[in-house]
Order: sequence, then C-alpha cells, then structure tokens
Amino acid sequence: MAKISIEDVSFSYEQDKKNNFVLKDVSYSILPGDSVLLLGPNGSGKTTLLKLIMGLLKPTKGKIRIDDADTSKASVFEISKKVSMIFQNPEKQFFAETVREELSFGLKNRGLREEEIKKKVEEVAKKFGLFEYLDKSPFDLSGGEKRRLSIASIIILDPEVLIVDEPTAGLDFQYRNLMISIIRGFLETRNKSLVVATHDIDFGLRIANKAAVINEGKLVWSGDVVSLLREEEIFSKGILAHTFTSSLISRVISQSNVDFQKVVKILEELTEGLM
Amino acid sequence: MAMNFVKAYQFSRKETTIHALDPRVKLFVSVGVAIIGIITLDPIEIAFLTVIQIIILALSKSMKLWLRSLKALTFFILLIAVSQYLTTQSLIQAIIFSARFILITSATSWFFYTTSPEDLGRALEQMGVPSDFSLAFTLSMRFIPVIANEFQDVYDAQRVRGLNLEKGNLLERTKAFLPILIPLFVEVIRRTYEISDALELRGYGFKEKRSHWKELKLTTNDYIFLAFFLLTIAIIVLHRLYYPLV
Ligand SMILES: Nc1ncnc2c1ncn2[C@@H]1O[C@H](COP(=O)(O)OP(=O)(O)O)[C@@H](O)[C@H]1O
Ligand SMILES: [Mg+2]
Repeated sequence: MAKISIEDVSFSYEQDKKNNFVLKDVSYSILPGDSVLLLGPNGSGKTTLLKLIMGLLKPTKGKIRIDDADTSKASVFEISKKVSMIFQNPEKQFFAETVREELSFGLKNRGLREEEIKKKVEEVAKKFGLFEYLDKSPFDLSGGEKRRLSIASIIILDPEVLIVDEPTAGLDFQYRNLMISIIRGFLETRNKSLVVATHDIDFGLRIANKAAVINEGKLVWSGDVVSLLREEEIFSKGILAHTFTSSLISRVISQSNVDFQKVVKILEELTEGLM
Repeated sequence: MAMNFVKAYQFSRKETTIHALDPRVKLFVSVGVAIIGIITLDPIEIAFLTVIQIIILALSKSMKLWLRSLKALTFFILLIAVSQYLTTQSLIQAIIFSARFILITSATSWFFYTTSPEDLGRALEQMGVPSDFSLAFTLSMRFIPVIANEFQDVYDAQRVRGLNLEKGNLLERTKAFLPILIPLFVEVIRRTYEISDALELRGYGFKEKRSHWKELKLTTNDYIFLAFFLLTIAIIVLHRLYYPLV
C-alpha cells in the first residue's frame, strides 16, 4: 500500500509572484493504515494541500512523493491509480445518462474489460444501495442517493489512499452518519489510508487516528488524535474550536486513563447517531 | 488554464488615478482607441497609440496583468501573423496585423482591469442604456470568473476519475469534453435560477426606475484624461494630413 511523503512543500497560486505562499514549508508523511484528520480554519490551505497530494497542483517548492514517484513528474492519470479524491459537493461531477454509466466512467478510462466493469459496478451499487437505480438518470436521484453515487464512483476505483475534502459541509445528521459508515467501510481493508480535511472536529474524532493542524499555510501541529485533545494551546489560541463533544472527550481522557476509542464509542451509543 | 485566459480581462481593485476615473470617460477613450485600431493600417499610428496604452497601463499599475494576458493570447497573435503572411506573402503586413490586435486588446484590457462590473453597469445606465440590458451585462461580467472556477473544479473531478483530454484522435478528444461540459452546463443553469430568484426577492422588476446610491459626475482628472485623448487624436489627424498612407 502507498506511502506519501510531503517534503518541505511550499505553494503559490500565482506563478510569477513566488512570495505569496498559500502553503509554507509543509512536511508530513502518510503511512499505510493512517487515517489522518487535516484540521485548520477556513482559508488555511487544506484544500490546496489535498490537491497537491492528488497531483492536481504541483508544488512551487519542495516535493511530494507517492512511493518514491515524484508527483511533479507524474500525470493525474498515473497518480489516480493509487490515490483518489472526493471533492466538496461531489454531486457536481455527474454527466452520464445512467447511474451505471456514471459508475463505470473511471473504470472505462482505465481500459478495463466490459465484463469486469459490469461485475464491479453491480457489486459497488449493491454495497451503496444503488442497485435498483442502475438504469435511472443520476440527476433524478434524491439528495442522499446522489451523494452515495458520487462517492461510490470514487470508491469503485479501489484507491490505496482516499482523500476527502469537507465531507460534512452542509450535511445534516443523517448524511454525516452515512459518510462515517462509508469511510469506516473503506478503512476496513488493511493498510488503506485516508486523509480528511474538515473543520468538523466531532466528525473527525469518529474516523481518524492521526491529526495534522494547519494555520495560515503552516503545519503547526501533528500527532495522534488523542494527543491533539490534550494540546490545550491550539484550542486556547483559537486555531481550533472545541465543540461540546470534543471538550467532553478531552476532559474525560485527561482525567482518567480510559481509552479514547472507547469514549467515542460510548458517546455514539448514547446519542444514537446524533453526534 | 481557463483561469489565465479570464484574468486577461478581469477587474482588479487598486487605488490609482485611472481606476478613479469616470467609467463613461474610460469607456469612451477605450472604445475610441479600439476603433482607430480597427481602421488604421499605419505602423507609426499603431506604435504611437500602443505606447500611450502602455502609459495608461503603467499608471493603473496593471503592467503585470497585461503582460500575463499577452502571454495567454500568444496563440492568437501568432495565428493572426501566420494567416496574414500566408494570404499576403508580406512579412510587414503580418506584423502590422498582429500589432493592431495587440493594440485593440490593450485598449480594451485596461478598461476592464480598472472598471468594476458595478461601475460599468452604472455608466451604461446613465448613458441611457435600458437597465435590464445593463444589469444583464454586469451580471454576465461577474459570472465569467465563476464559470472559469467551475470549469476547473469539474475538470479536476473528472481527471481524478481518469479523464484524459490529451489522448486519441480529434473525434475522441471532442467526445472527452462531454463529461466536463455537461456538469458545467447544469451548474450554470442552476446558478442562473439562483440569481433570478435573488433578484426577484430584492424586488427587481417592480419599480420603473431604480435608484442609485451614487450618481456619476465628471472630475478634473476626467477632463484632463479626455483632453489628452483629444490631443492624441489631433496628432493622428495631423500625421494623416502630412503623411497620407498610399
Ligand atoms: N484557485 C485559486 N487561486 C488563487 N488563490 C486561491 C485559489 N484557491 C484557493 N486560494 C487561496 O488559497 C488560500 C487557501 O485556500 P484553501 O486551500 O481553499 O483553504 P481551506 O481549504 O483550508 O479553506 C486561501 O487564501 C484562498 O483564498
Ligand atoms: Mg477547503
């Protein structure tokens, strides 16, 4: 499974103005099995970093390597064989006449055989509760079905590393729980890794084991999710804001030796998905 | 890619004398220069006017934007030069035609760099253009960067799913554009509805004459700018009289 190393990466959107950096000297590694929460205020550079990892943008300075291959020298097509990305509002990408075609798109581009595509499409459609809609138009689906289809069309590519940008922005409880179960399903396969950018810390606590915090383009903190909750400075400085749930968890784990995952699980059971 | 092209004509807010000029004056001068650019074939006039455009661009602190837009337009400039050369077999003719193109785009680009869509709409309205038309114009101007951003988003999303526009023959490449164009079209239509709803909510269409918070008035700087423009025209006319072409 793939390992990603981000090495001293700086990035500027303006090619001729090289001092206007949106990201500054960011270094970080994502190992197989990592589930990384990328946190930071709006405009801190999260989406930019995700696009750099995906190869959609190339570093102005520094390097990003995916198993030794430099993303600056690889095409997005090459990178997409190992890494895939779910954008904010992924429903915007629909174009096909049927759900079946929409799901097949990525596999067709990879040049898979017809029978193989058909088999995979039906398998994934069943898993995402879309089987009965296969011959319907994607544009006729309900909100939740659209979201499931857009994510299914990425999961079907079976990436080793999944990148997700703001998965819960503008979603209600129901969809947040849907996202959680999809992401947990993805992580069930050994050594797959995940990077999720969000400022929804409650959501993040339920899926991640690592965290990285960026502020104004700089990586200001990285480590285990549990240690993040013990890191009072980041919260007191206002880089991140506690929610009721996250402050509750951080209090509980700082006052006793109870396992973080257990606390999250208990809270989930008590609130029955309201978290 | 799409973004570069849009930036060639995009308003950028700055504090300069040119930005502060009356949008009607700017429109008049910019269109005036463009018209001379279309009519003239005299290399001296083209060079003279281009130098003046560069001075205006420098005064409006937009040289960088302009150079970038020229870079984005290189393809068209070359296309014009080559096609002129092929039809007339004259290198001078090829250079004159490309230079005219550069002059016309320069004259129009400083106008757009220094005039906000709202100012433009206001100017059009005060010049007697029907308000529906000037509103539509203003909205579409603001819409262009939005569409370019959407294009980039959809393109990125499809590239992640393995779309490759650089593969195959012409027909295959054209077909490969569909997964980008369809979502883009859907989004543009959705946004159009959003805008018309927003306009209705704010009462657009109920009152015959809408009120404005700022009436336009000419200032000393506007008169100076106009005077320089008339001087330029006078010089060109004199030049014509003493050195008629042909
Ligand atoms: N296409 C772009 N062109 C120029 N600047 C951009 C572009 N996209 C984002 N930015 C700027 O880069 C900074 C970081 O943006 P982004 O990565 O989207 O932050 P986040 O995802 O953390 O909200 C912001 O200041 C934003 O305005
Ligand atoms: Mg973002």
